[in-house]
Amino acid sequence: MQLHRLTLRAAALAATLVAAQPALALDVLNSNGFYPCIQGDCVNGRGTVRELMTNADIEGNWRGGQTIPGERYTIGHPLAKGKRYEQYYGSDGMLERGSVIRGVAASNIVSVFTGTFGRVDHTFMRARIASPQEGVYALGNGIEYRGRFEYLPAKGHTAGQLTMGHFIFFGDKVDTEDNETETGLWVSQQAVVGGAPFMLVRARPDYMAVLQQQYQREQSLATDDFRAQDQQKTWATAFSILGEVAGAMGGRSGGLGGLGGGRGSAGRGFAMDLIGGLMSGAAQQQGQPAQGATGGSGGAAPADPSARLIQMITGSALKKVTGDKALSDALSKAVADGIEKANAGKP
Amino acid sequence: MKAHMPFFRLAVIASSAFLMCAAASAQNLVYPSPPQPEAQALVQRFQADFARVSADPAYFTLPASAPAPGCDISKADLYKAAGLAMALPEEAAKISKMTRKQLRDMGMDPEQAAKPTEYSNVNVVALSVPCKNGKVDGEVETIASFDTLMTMKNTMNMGQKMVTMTMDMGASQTKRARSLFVAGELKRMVFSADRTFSRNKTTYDDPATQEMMNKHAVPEAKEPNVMLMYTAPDEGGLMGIFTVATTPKFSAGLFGMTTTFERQVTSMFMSGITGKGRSVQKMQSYTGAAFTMDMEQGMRDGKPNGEQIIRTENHFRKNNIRMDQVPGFENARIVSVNGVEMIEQRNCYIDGALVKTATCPKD
Repeated sequence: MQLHRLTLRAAALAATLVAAQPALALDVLNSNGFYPCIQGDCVNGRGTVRELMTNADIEGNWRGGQTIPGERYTIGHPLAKGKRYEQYYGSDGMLERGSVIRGVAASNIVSVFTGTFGRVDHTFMRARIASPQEGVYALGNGIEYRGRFEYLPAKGHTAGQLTMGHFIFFGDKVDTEDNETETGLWVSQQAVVGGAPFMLVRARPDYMAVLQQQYQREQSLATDDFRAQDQQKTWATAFSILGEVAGAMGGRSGGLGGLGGGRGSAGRGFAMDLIGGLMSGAAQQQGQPAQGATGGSGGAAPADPSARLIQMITGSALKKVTGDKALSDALSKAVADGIEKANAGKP
Repeated sequence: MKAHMPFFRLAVIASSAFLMCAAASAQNLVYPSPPQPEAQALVQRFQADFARVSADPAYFTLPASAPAPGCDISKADLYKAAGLAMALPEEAAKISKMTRKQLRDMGMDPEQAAKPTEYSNVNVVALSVPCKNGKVDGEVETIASFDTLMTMKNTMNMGQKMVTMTMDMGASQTKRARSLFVAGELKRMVFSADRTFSRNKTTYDDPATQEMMNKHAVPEAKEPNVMLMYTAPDEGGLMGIFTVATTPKFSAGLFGMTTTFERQVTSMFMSGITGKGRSVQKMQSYTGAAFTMDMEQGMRDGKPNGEQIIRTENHFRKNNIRMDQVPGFENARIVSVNGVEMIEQRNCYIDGALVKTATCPKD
């Protein structure tokens, strides 16, 4: 069903916009301007995109605005003094191996991680991200961490707003200026935002239990954040859909030319079904635990609870509009347009 | 020694005007009321000294000619006695080398962060150099004037472009100091009084950013900052640092934002500062009468070793923010110190380095 496909696409887009961070899939066309094309063809050809968060530029071949698995890309940065680093992306559009330039704040140097990347289901962003796994993290000032990295997601101030997490490192800290090496366990001083550079401090093994307890505590707090966000989003989407339905029924472009015949009452009935469904759906939503990690796509239903609820209510309301294909199509289109506009933030 | 620099003449004129204002406003300042009797005594001492300094137009004036010192003193010792060790190139190089690695560990660019402050127009006059058995012994009193300049460069990501910001933090200072020597060896600074005229300048290599920043630039205070420092007679005893500074206050008016300046006293009390063995360093600070910070740090042989407890004002309550939702404050807690609600955070140091651990070792 067209509506179902549109709903799924809208839910995926919303997740991408909220979580726009370098660790997510690099998609030029669906990045909300996060990856502007600065040279060549960044959709189907060879081109260079700029990563606005760090001001790094990535050059390579693009297919449908996305990276091509296994192809070689190069990344550079104004502070890297002309040096370019290699990157290779996986079939999920995220980094598999190569280098990533970390830096969002003011600095005269750039920190670079070079190595392999694993995948982490970020509980608090409800998204899968790429994270440094095995390699070298060079601070750009002669200090290098060479070894194995792990990533533990963190909630930040409000779940679903910023990709945050703790880096855990075991290996060698090498001071290339003083020619000194220390081996051991280090953790990031505090939760790190997205692709920002991170400082590591020495840790004793018992600190892992502290981090784990903190993670559990944050999961519990995130439940409230997600529930509030889902409800807010559901209502915003519903108002957007109602606006589109009113437009369609009132003869706006593509509409049905006024409220004549039985169509007006059918439209009003649809609108009331939508509102009634939301009222009871919101009550149900309040009683349910909010969903945490996506844990992969799998299945036809959208992962976003608000998208699931909207899909269920509009699907049920549309079933009642029988015997008038034009009206049914117009309402379906109004629902899809309403969802798209709500996700784009302009209901 | 040369004392007739253009800056110095200007400073003397400016300081006379300042002292007239300062003497009048000294009584309007708000002072802290710490619960410890030793700290209370320091506050009273500072109040009396600041009133005296403010009323004496010659206090920060270098003498036209230096009195003959009672004892020979080397240039290095004279500078150290005056609290100007960093103005000696060899001392500055030593400190710079020590801090370079620490700064690199913190992810900073050592070429910028470890750059020593530049000193110029340095003029140190020994007012008294007591002598015993041919060696400097007793309290050496000095007065010095000098200019400092610290330059910092940082490149910022402004979306489509990188913009380099250069901050020149300049100051013209006059410093009076009393330092204790025993048998020719400097033991500690006993007292110092500083008067500082700041002149800061920030430039951007992007004209649009420069224009935007110029529009929002905060005017600089015309009055100098005055700082008085008292050290304890015994090692590990209570030390007090009091600064009277002019701080900007912003308010919205009919014609936009207006900036006014207010004189404010910042007080800091420190104890447990020793170079050897074990101790617990303590620090408390106040802004006006408000208690703003409390810190305890375990030390061993001059290095942080053991638990560090920092308590700061509960600024989250003012802004209605849940503390456990703020990154970095997940394990903080609310406590009451001297009847003031504060945020407490604990860290652990082992042999000078910050270490993340569930329990901080006692030894």
